[in-house]
Amino acid sequence: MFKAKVRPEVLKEVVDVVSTTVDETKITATKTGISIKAVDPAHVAMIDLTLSKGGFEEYKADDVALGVDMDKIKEVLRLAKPGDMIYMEHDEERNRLVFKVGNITRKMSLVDTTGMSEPKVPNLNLPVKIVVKTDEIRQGIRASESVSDHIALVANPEGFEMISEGDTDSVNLKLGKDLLEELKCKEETRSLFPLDYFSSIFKTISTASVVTMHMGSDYPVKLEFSIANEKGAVVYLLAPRIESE
Amino acid sequence: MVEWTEKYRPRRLDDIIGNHKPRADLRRWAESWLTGTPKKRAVVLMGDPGIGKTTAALALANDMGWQVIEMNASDSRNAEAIMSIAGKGAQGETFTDEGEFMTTKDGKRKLIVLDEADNIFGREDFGGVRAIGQIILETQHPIILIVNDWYALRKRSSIIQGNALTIKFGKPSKSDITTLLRNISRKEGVEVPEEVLLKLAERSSGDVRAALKDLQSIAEGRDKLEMKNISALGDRDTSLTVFKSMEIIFQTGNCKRSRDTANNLDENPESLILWIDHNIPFAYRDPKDVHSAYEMLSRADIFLGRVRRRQNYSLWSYARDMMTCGVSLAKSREYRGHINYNFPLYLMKMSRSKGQRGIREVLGSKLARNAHTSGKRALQDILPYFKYLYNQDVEFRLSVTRRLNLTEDEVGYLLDAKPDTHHVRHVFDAMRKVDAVSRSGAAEPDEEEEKEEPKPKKRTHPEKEPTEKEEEPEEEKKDEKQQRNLFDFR
Repeated sequence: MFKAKVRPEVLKEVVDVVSTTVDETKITATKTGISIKAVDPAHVAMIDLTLSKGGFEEYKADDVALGVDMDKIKEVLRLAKPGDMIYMEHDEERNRLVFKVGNITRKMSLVDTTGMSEPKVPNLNLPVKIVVKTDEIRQGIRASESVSDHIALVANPEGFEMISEGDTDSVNLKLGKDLLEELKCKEETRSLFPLDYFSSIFKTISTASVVTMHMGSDYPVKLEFSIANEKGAVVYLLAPRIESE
Repeated sequence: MVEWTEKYRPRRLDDIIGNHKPRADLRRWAESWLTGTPKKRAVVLMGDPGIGKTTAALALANDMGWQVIEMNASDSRNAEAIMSIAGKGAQGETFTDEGEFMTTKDGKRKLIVLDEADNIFGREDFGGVRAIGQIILETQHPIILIVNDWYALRKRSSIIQGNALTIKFGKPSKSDITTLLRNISRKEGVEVPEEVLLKLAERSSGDVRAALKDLQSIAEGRDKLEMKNISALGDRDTSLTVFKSMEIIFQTGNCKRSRDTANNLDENPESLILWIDHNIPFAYRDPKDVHSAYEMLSRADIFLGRVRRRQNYSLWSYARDMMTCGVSLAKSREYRGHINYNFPLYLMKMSRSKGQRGIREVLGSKLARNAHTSGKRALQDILPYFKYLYNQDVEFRLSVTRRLNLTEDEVGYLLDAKPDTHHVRHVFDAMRKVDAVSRSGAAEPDEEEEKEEPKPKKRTHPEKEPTEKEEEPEEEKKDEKQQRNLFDFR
């Protein structure tokens, strides 16, 4: 069983974050809340989103897995006017998810979840931890986008750097220790990442003012941020770009 | 119901039947990735349907502990989709389906599998071929392209042709298939007599998937099979029975059987005659027999001509009798032993040149419009000289490419080069350069023009003024309005 009432902003946040990675996904609902885990089709990024019961206005569920198409939920969200509530209910008999927005009822057939994997967040040895204002990073991404399609994240005991090097131009965002909320780093690390992934996930971090980044050298970056006024949390992992041998 | 083809799909390369050498080649290539990025980063697996190409690719990934990214025909495979999935995947390290992180430093890679890659290049998947070429050049991960028709893919891309290792999968032998069917029916607890197994293997003619599907369709729900169950299966695959028909026509000398085989064939007499025409010299070794066979064929052809002219299709039956019975009885002695029958060269050439002929026609109509003449005339009288000039004179080349709004395919045709080679790219690059030069020489370009600039094809509006070179004398400009003649190219 799954039955919930949610504010459109909250649902939108969830959908925005998840659709950076996959178009279709499995939502696992339990008594305490929902969770979404997915690896993107290129097998480069991974997401683990949880939204606790408290993120919903009303919530009631037994263990159930719902296969949903993100685009369809976006269509539902488009129907919502400010102040509206979205009601969701799982129609087990016909395996549909029924949405109610205002006077509209939208019945959505669910996607088969049997082929969908359920990835677990891997245990990675990431020695560096940085907590930084989201806006700072966004500014760095904006500057990099015109220069190159990848970006290097460098951390050392003095601070954090984002470097983007194109054929002719380069961009460098340097944040000293004092500009970071927290910095834990013993020795310098550097990894290269595809910029578009990085950029699209940062565009979705709307309400969280800070983001935590865990890094290593030529190793994935792990981003952690909260959604829905701290009622939900996202862990986002991005694999590094392979630097040519 | 679980498909047996899935249930018994081999998980390891060693479990695949037949094709020992291709499998060994594939494994060797995969192992070359353990020590770095090999020279050939892609493999083209080619061969007939149902013989285990996809299975081999997936089994290889399993053997190597690689994560598979598969894009098959049911996925959208335009340039954008290919770039965003295969392209992105090809550059980065990997998370597996289970969420485990794998790094190439440990030899753990992704295997990017593009199934039915020869079908990517329809209208809706435009640009896909170039995207694949690009990915192959830059990938850090192994790529496998699976094709039935390697030729179709090869002619579209010299990058793929030059940078991929080709491995050809053959048909597994009848005994291999029989063994496989026997093992599976044993596992399923169905008792199948040997002759049924043999028959199934035979009619599959090497298509393991088809054999397995046949077996499942007649065996499911039974615990014992008999010969008569086989008749429940319909006929399959006409292209294979054409060869069988050739055998009957050329090698039996039985008039009725020869005729019947043509009736049961899903080929009209128009194409059947091409098959017979092409294969007479292979089948009949005595020149006299060849002569009298062609005598019969020419009579058949007369009837075909009448059918065409008078639209009287009842005459087809005479044509058919002549080309089957007639040819069959034309021989003076029996020819025994295996004869290799071939696909008619004429059909093959026509289908291979189909794309080229299409390009040629479009080119003809473009020329015709500009030269105020018919398309036929343009092809006949203008194209040869046009092509010569196009190859010889660089300025002419640039200006007509713009004027006629030529596409990369057409430029490729004119230069006798494939559309993705540097010869063709060079033309478009040069055009862009000319644009830049003329613009910087001219008055302030407005914003919109600037934006359009990277797309040379779109820029070439017919009403747009032809580009001038800087060094051109001033007076030439005055003539511009009259320059409607094709060969006045400034």
